[in-house]
Amino acid sequence: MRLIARLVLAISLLAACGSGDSSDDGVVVFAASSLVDVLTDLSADDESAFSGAVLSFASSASLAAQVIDGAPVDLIISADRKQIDELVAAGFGTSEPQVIAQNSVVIAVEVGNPLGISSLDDLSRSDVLLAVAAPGVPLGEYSEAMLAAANVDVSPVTFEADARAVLAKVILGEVDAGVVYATDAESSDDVELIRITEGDEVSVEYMALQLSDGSDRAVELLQELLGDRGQQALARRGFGLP
Amino acid sequence: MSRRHRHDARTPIVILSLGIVAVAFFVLPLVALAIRVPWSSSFDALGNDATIEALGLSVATSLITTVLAVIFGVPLAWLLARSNMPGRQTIRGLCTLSMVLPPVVAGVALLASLGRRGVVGQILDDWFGVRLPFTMPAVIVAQLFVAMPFLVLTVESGFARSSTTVEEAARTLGATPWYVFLRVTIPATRPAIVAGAVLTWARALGEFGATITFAGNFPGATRTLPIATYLALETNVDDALLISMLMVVLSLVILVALRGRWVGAIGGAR
Amino acid sequence: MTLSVDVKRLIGSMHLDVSFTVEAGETIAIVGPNGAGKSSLLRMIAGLSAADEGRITWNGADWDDASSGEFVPTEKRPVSYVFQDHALIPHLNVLDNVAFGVRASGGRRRVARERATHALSDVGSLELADRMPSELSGGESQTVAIARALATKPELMLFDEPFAALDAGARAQARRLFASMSNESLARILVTHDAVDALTLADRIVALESGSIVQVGTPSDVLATPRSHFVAEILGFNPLSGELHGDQLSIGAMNLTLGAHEVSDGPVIAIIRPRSVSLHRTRPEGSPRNVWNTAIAAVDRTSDRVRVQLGAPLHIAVEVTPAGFEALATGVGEELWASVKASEIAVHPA
Repeated sequence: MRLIARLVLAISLLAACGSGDSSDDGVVVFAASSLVDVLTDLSADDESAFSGAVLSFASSASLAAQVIDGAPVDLIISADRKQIDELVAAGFGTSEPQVIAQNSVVIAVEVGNPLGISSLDDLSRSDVLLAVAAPGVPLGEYSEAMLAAANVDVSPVTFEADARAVLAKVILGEVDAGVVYATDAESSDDVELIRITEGDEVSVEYMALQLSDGSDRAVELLQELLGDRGQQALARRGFGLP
Repeated sequence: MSRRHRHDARTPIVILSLGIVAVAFFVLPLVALAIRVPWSSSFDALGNDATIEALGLSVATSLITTVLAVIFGVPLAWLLARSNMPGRQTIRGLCTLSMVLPPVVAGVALLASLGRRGVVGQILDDWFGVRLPFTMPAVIVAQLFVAMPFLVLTVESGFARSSTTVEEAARTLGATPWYVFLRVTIPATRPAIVAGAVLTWARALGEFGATITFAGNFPGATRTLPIATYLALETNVDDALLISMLMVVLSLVILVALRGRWVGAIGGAR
Repeated sequence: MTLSVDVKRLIGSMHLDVSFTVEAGETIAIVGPNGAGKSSLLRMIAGLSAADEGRITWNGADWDDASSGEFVPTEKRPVSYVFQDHALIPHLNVLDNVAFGVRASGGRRRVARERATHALSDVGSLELADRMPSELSGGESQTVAIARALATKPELMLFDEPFAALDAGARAQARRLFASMSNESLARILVTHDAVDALTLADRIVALESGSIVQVGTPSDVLATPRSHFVAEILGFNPLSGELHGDQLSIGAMNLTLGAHEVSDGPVIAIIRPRSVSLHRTRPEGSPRNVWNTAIAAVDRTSDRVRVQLGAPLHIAVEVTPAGFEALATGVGEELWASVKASEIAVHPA
């Protein structure tokens, strides 16, 4: 019985330590899913500040929700200004939000573009099965706004949870076209990318917000993203620079 | 626990303490969810058409899935338990693999087979113009794929336990094998069938990964309650909490309505 | 009506190879030790398994012919089968269990229930009709199983160890029911490992050992010339020639009272199991019948039991435990009292 009491005590002490401060060794970065490739590239580079960082990818909205719920995060990079604004309004952030990269929204189609899709108007054709991101996730909001501005009335067959899911449906041939980020479309050899004609295009700004106090590592990370190494890595993956 | 003492002398303290930890583990998240739900704020999320629609779709699809699982799963379970077809072990493994697969993988596998470009899906499309993905039947297919094994395994063990002598006695009384199956075997296995159906229904109601992968997300056709919850988490956490609470209450009501005894039959103790 | 059986089947490593016939109105007992292949044989006759070689015919028509592949399924054979564990359908009450056969053959519910009511009253158990199988004693469920088997009006009835699972009282009653069922148009096969049941209930005995028939004959033939170890053991069961008058049996100068039986008066063979006789140092109190004074003629000790040969008036063997024998503290020539219960004496026409 005493043994068990000691074990329980030990476990509760360990748990207390754990919840107190987790950023001792690893700096924690939350980033929008579309940044997976770039940040993974950087963290594979031993000289990069991202090497050894704990990276967590999800949709910007759910990342922001986790931060509000108290997740111990040093830096968050969102694909949507809205989430950053919410965080700032809720009192988070130890520096000004900064734009680190730009992206654009494009149409992804099967290689060879068998249905000859060339513009947003084609997406309303009845023979085109279309996948878009769900309203509410940043990509979905951008897509909706873009289509509305261009006065194109579409009937998607599915509203996917994020850009990668839209892309997967195009790659698997379940839909003929998907509205995704340019970087996602460029990451796959299995789709062709149709850019949106000038005037209708939407530009997406990736914003970073430093969350922890006095963490040199977080500052370092931010500086790297804005510096040569970071910007080259972003460009390699198809991002536009601020 | 006895009526006289909370700490019955026959319940070892270790078992009691660990059991209480286990209970807390299950109850705590539910209580926490109930606390976090913005009760004071409006119930708009529950009253709005989108949620009602998702709820209706979830209930309808999960019930259809359960019925189909019984229709196909009971015969499969019988074959596994009673026939001496070769390779039974392998067949059992293949038929229950989807239970342990990550649901997303199950969804991808369904796309590969029944999707527009899938092995069979292509034929369905070319010959009959039938396209499964992004339709309500696709939701049912996804649920059936991951949930039916629960029924098959439960009913198989029910068949394995029920007496073959009674079935043989029925044969000698002039009953055909089919009559014996319907009038002797099925009634004897009923507790296992009900238990398996409840498990299947529960799994189907909560199905998310395979559904969103294979059937996508379209309001009214494929957006089930779990998908609605997940997407609400992206936009409005309060809504997500309310819908989650709705699912908890719905599941609880049905589990209670089925009275623990049916669920108790799962382990074989009747 | 003739059942003709001539089959071979491999059971585990044992070759079952038997050939015999049964006529309508006749009761055959298949006896033999556990594992002799008795139940497997019964299952083949019922159609619950098939012969590897040979054939089973009923009035010349094939039920099972291994060479032609002809096989009449169980439900098409006019057979009913009483299982050792009775095999009542657990979710049906007694009446519906008994009605099951008629229902399964397409009979209407009302007709089936009428037939079931008749069958139950025939075996004297109508009062059980509304009970569930789980609420029956062993003897009651055995009776219901027999009523259920009779309700389908079978031409051949198979009994697999019908008395083995019953307690002594129920066993005596079940034996009486079995004996009373016999009729001209019904052939019966009784599988048992109890030689006394075979001797007293059957017209002919088929003795089976390790899958082969070692003897076929009437009970008297088998008693006169046992041809196997198992049958020889019957001799140890104290067969006694006597004269029956109602419930009184005279063996020489000795008079014994019997329990209920179905045997008509006249010369009979009575059988007393060695273990059913009790020995006492003084006259036992309270059981006035079937008690007699005797002396020990011989004692034969083995490791786990003592076989005591009694002298006049009844020259029978009695088996007791070594401890029980020590408690009597007796040796050859010593006087003691013997007693046997009326229901433990079996009789069969000589």
